[in-house]
This record gives sequence, structure tokens and C-alpha cells, in this order.
Amino acid sequence: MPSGLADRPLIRCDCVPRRPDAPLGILWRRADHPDKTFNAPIEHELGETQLLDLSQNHDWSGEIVGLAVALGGNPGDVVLIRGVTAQTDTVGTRLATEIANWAGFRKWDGQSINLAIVGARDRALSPVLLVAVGDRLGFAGVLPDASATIRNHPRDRHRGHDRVGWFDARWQLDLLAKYRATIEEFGDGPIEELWRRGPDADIYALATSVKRGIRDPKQRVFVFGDEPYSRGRAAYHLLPLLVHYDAVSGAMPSAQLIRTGDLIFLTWSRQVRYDKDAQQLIWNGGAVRVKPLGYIHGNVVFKVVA
Amino acid sequence: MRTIELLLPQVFALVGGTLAVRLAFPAGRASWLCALGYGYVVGQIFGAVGLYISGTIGFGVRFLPAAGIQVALCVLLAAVLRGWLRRDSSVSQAVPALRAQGVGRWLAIAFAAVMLLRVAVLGLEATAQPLYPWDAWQQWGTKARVWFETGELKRFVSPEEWLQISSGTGDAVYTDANPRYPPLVPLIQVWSLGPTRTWDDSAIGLTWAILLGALGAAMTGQLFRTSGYWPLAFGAAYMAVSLPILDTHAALAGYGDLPLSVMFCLAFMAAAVVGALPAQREMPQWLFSCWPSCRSSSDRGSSGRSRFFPS
Repeated sequence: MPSGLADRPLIRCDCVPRRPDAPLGILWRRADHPDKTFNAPIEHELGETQLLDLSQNHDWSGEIVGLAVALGGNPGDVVLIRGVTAQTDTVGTRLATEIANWAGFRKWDGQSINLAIVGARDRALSPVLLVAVGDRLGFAGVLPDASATIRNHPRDRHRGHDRVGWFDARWQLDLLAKYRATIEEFGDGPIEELWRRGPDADIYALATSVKRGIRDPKQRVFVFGDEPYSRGRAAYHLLPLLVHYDAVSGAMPSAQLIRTGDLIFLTWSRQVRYDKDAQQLIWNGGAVRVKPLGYIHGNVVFKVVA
Repeated sequence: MRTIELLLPQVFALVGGTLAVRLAFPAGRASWLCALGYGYVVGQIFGAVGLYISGTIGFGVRFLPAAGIQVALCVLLAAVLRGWLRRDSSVSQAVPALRAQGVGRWLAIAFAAVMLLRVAVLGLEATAQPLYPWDAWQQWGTKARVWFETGELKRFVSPEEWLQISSGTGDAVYTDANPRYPPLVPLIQVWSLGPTRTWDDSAIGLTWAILLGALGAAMTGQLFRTSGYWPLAFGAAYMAVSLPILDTHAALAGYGDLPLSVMFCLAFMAAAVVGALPAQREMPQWLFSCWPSCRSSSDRGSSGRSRFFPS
């Protein structure tokens, strides 16, 4: 373990969990508390991790004698760790990180669709965005008088176009880089191939195999799972079967409302337990007797039996 | 064959809507650019309305009957507006055009070219991956998929209602993240798949990219109408079309925000041209006063299913 690690609180973990909603964290031990393990969560989304800033974390101090990356989940979950770097917290480092962040081309993530996210470190209003917005508001301000301006002041007709061009050239290059990343990830095959290459490929594969074996269009399927992404994607891929799930809270119904013949699509969950001996699925709403129909990487489909 | 099937709804929307707008307005009031931009949006909405009517009267949520209804609605719109506007002389004529020379001419060409490039790149991106952002597949795409695959306007209810209703022997009901959202956006998604039989949510992106292009065309037309100068018209339209937040919504298709933004923007420009907006000095107060109604009407969950248009 390199010495003086506590003086480098900006941690970048280049890690990709296979399951997109698996919690990721960093663990460490200190020489003064060798029996205690400290931890901090690493924010990540669809294969991209965020910079972890431990400068305000009082546990990141003293002599760090052990470091690990932790993945929460169930057996079979894997995480690809390409490397972990730690940097000093100086104005220069922060500036370089911000500039690299603004200048770097990256693929789409789940938050790209939002203009700004209050509280998110790399999605707060950036200076680039503010300048761009200010520039365009200025243009919009003169637009109502533009007709008169271009008639009365021919020399002012084309003022300001150059600034816009610079901003947009950067954005155009970013869009091209994003498109290239999308093609690398998904390829250019038919829609089934795109789904197979998506981050929810396991869920898609299991849902497709379930649908293939069902003839009754009124087959009911209950989706259980703690993670909104997994249960939402499971429900989406199971359509147009009659799928029940609570997209927002993830609440599971009472066992009394589930009847023989229903299917239960279980993604990762701490609330649900499968008792193999009794062949029962148990949760705080009750228990039902089930028969497993399929399993792919932590996602299981059960059929409710009498 | 599949490519042709996926292009059909786009052709119907573009040609039907454009001809309707062009025929509706007397010469000089709507240029071809305006007609293309406004027409495509009109064509898309009528396509969705066609699916809704077709599904409601028993022909099913199917492209062919919906296309027939869409054509009829375009003809009806053209006839009604043409008759109405013949008696209306309140719309001001366009300002005389200024000749763009030298730098101005090249700027206009450059703006038009980069706008086309932008829409083309976004179109490629939008069709290269399945529905990606959360709301697209949690609340818009769910309805579209069920209606497309079953061919019926199935009802969406809350998870609690689903449990009550699905226990009985009545009609099949569905649930998703926002079951009470109105059907316009999902039906535009269904319309985008034309007569195909396989749910392909990557193809939906084409509509979102062309909607952005329609905004650019309509804005260019309206700005040329009011300024008479092509470089300004193309330049301002390019600035709108190149806004990252709009581009992102076109690239990551499926949200309701882009279609609604385009519709509101087109309506705003049309209202400005006919003088239906307040004076420029009163505009900030007017826009500010609109804010509470915009917020309340965006509470889509409380509006019920009876409303076709989301706000």
C-alpha cells in the first residue's frame, strides 16, 4: 500500500459492475484501527463511475494500510476493476479534473436527459453551460429588433456568430463520439440484438424465454425486486403480458392476492426469500408455494402452485 | 421491406401534413419551409389521433385504418382553414426580402448545412439503441408497447387498482409508473412503427429526430417571414436546433418533452405572427404569469385519461 494515501482523497475507481444497479463502494483500513473497516459508496450508472471525494471524510486519515473495492449483491455478481487512482486535493488537481471532465467525450448515461441536477457534482450548472445560455439569451434579446437592425445597420448583420460556432463545434464532436460509443456497445443488428447487448441483457433473456412459453394472453406476472431499474426493465420486457409491479416504491402485494398459475419474476431483493426445501417464496406480505421455471444471473422466474 | 414500412408513417406525416398546411394558407402566408415544419407536426398528431379513433371505434390500433383517418383529417383541416382564412385579412404579409450576398449568403448556406448535419447525426443516434431514458420505457413506451402488440387501447391503472381489477374476469388492465398519462405521446410512438408487426423501440427515435428538424424548418420559415433575411432566419433556427438539451431529447428519444416543446414553440411563433401575443415590453410579465398554469397543467397524473394532449 503506498504511503501517504490519506493525503490523496480524490479517488477514481475505473470499475464496471456487471449488474447496473449493484451497489459499489470502497473499503479501507487504517493502521491505528486495524480491526475496523471503513467504507464509502461509489456512485455509478451504466458502467460509468463518479469521482469519489473523501476530502471531508474524517475516516480517510492516518495511515491507510488496506484498500478494497466492494460490490453488493448476490452470488454470481461480478465487477470488472481496471484500476483505482488517488489524487491530492489541490486547486490544480480540481481544476485539471474539471477541465478534463468538461473536455472529455463520454457516452450517454441515465442523467444525460436532464439539463442540470441539483446536488450532483458533475451535473451542476457548469461555467460552459452558463456562458452558452448567456450568449443565447443575449441573441434572443436582440432577435425581436433584428429585422430593423439588419436593415438599418448592415455592418452588424453577422456579429456574434463566431462565438456560437465554437460552442457548437465542441457539442457536435461530443455527439459524434457518443454515437460511436453507442454503435460500439449495441452494434447495428435488429432490435433483438440491441436488447441482447444492453445493460439489462439477462433480464431480457429471461423475460423472452418466459413469454415464449405462454399461450394465455391474460397470464399474470408479478415482478418483485428492490432495484427500480431491474424491476422496471423486467416489467417492460414482459409486456404485453399482464404485469404487476410498483415502479416507484417497489411495494409487493399481499400473498392473498396471488393465485395459482401466476408467475413471479424475481430480480435482486433483500425482502424476498426462497425456501428451497419447502418450495416457498416468503416475504413480509406472506408466502406462496412456487416452482422455479428459469434462472439467469440472479433473476428467477417462479410459477405459483397449489 | 421493413425499412419501407418504417418510412411509411414518416411519409404520411410529412406529405399529408405539409400539403394540408400549404393548401390551407393562401400563397405568401406560409412558405414551403413553414409548411414542412408545421405540416410534419400536424401529420404526426393526426396520425396519433387516427390511431386513437381507429382503436375507439373498433378497427384496432392499426396503421392502415389510422392512415385513412389521418388523410381525411388533413383534407378536413385544409378545407376548413382555407375557407376560414379566405374571409380573414388580419394576418400581416411577410416583410420584403433582403438580398443576402457575400458573407451573408455563405453564412446562410453554412447554417442550413450544419442544421441538416445535426439532425442527421441525431437521427442515427436515436435509432441506434432501444428506448434509453427512464421515463421513455417506464411510462410512455409501456403504453405504446401494449397498444401496439395487442392492437387495442388497453386501460392503464395504478398497481393497487390492477390488483383489484385483474382478480376478476373483466378486461385486461395494465399498470406502469404513471398510468394516468395521456395517450398522445405513446400513440405517436405507435404511429412511428407504421404497419410493422414487431415492437422495435429503436425505430421510434426517427420521429423524435425529425420533430427537431421540423422545428428548425418552421422556425426558419417564420423568421424569414418576419425578418426577410435568410442568414438571420437560418442562424436563429440553428441556434435553437443546436441547443444541447433539445438535441439530447432527440438523441435519447421517447420522452414527451421534445414533441411538446416543438408544438408549443410552433404555436408561439404562429401566435406572434398574427399578433396574438402581448407587446414586447409586456412579454416578461406575460410569460411569468403563464408559469403557474404551465406547472399545474404539467401535473399529468391528476388530469385523467379523458385528455388527449399532455401539457
